[in-house]
Amino acid sequence: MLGFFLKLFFKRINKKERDYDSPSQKASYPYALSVFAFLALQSFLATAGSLHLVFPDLPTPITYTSGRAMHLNLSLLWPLLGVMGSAWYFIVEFTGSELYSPRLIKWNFWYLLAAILLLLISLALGHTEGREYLEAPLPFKVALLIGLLFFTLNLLASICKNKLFCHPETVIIFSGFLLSSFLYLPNLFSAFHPTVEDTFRFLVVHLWEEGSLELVATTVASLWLASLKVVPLSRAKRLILWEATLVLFSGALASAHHFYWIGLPRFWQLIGAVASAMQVIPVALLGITAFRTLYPSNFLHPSLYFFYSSVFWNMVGVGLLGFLLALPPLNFYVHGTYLTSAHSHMALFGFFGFLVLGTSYFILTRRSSLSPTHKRRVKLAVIFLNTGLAIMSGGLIIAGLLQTYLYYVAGLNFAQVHLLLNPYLLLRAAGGAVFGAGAFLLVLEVWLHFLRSVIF
Amino acid sequence: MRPLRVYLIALFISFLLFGLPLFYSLKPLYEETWPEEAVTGKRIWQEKGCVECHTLFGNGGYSGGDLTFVTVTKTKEKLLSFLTSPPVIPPAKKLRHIALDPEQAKSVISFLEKVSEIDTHGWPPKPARNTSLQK
Repeated sequence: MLGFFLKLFFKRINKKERDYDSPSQKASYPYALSVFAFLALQSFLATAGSLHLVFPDLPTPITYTSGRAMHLNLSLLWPLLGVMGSAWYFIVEFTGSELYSPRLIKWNFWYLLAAILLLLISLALGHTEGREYLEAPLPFKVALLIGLLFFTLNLLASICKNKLFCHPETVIIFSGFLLSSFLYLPNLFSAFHPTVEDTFRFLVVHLWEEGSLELVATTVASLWLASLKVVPLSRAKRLILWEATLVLFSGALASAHHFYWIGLPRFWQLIGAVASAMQVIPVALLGITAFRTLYPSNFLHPSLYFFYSSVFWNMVGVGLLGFLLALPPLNFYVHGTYLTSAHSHMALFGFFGFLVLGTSYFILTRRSSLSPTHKRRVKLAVIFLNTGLAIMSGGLIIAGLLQTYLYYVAGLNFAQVHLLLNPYLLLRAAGGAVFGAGAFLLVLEVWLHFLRSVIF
Repeated sequence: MRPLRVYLIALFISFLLFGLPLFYSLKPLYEETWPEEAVTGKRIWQEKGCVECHTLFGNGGYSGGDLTFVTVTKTKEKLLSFLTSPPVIPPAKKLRHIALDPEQAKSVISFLEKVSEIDTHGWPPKPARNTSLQK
């Protein structure tokens, strides 16, 4: 049954293959372009913030509190925009049918962009809800949820209009967005009990971001590899289903690794440890696929640089470090140190960010010929991003290990420990500067290339 | 479409397996009642964005230290004087910790006192050797 379906599907794709983007696909360009601009803004903010941490007396236009809140919110928001744009693009690509309303997608973008910019201005002015990652004031959260719902409804209308219920990738992407709207809801409620509030917060931070959005991102990534023809479509489709099942099955329960010490019952430690160990399986699956794709490709599209970077950080930051950090006896000593920060940088940007950058870059450059200079510059930018991230994470890992040792073994007090950590935090800032250089080079190169291809 | 069915079933089961114990864990916490002052203290904690530098249960910013049990290790008077006339904290030479008025400071301390009553299963670990941490 599945074989028959895939054959039918493959024929249909071959028949409909074209060398231009449809209006629905073109509507995803602004989403992809904004991803690069926000990346540059975030890397600038983060580098400035990390310097402020080491030299607190430096004069700054906004407070450290505002800057950090903006940094954290950006780390969720631009990947969201990127995932939305890429999901549209690849659904149209692989189902060969137009979406319900490309005009609505365009308006949805400008609406979301306005909401995000106003949200950032509000955070810069010092308005905060005071919950990590969820600092945005309530009206902006409601505005974002409305944008997300419009998007999901448009997707549902497209599925109904084109009768796409039997396409696994469409169903998975739709379920991902439906879940992401649903899991965004705890964001809107506040509880007086900090344990309840932290649990709700992790439903958004872990399940919304790492669950539903990464589900869509990995699905989109498989389709992306299939359109580059580095993975046969049939294998990509099998991969999508297995990845999705594993990501969701282990992902939901793995949220428990945030529940160890926040005042919830002890059984969450067992659930968290087992489910987090299971999370390594989809990581390995993606790694094996990436390794296999190295052979059949006769050419290397520059967007694959982002894919391989993403796989690398997924193996190191999510698979290895994430697995170790989720073991309760080890987590007991390293929780609340810079090691967690290293893990979140490697997971959120290293894995998820690179994946979104890759699909967005592919969307923007696919239909134009790439000059050797452009390819070289993009390669350089990716090297800078990776090197910067490696220096940053290295600095944070050393700082985290040292923090654990000095605090819990040597018994120094917090102020003494913090002073001793400063050189490594400075190293992190240096990594941030290298990363920022890569981000600016990338945004310049991608935007200029896109503008040139549109004008000429 | 067997794989798709497996996916949808796995989705349902995983959320059921996660949702039920979560409901069971959170129910007793909802039934607690907290004094008005502590609830006000939590609001001030959020308005001032304390979590960007400090952690509670190890979650938050790492530049200012964990405050889950600060009311156990420091006296109320010491905390009150710190919050109302904050010192310069190294490596800063000029920048001071933000100041609160005495009413706000009392509320925040009351909130932190309630936080310290929450069972964190022994976290954070006690230092192996002696300790300036306790002073």
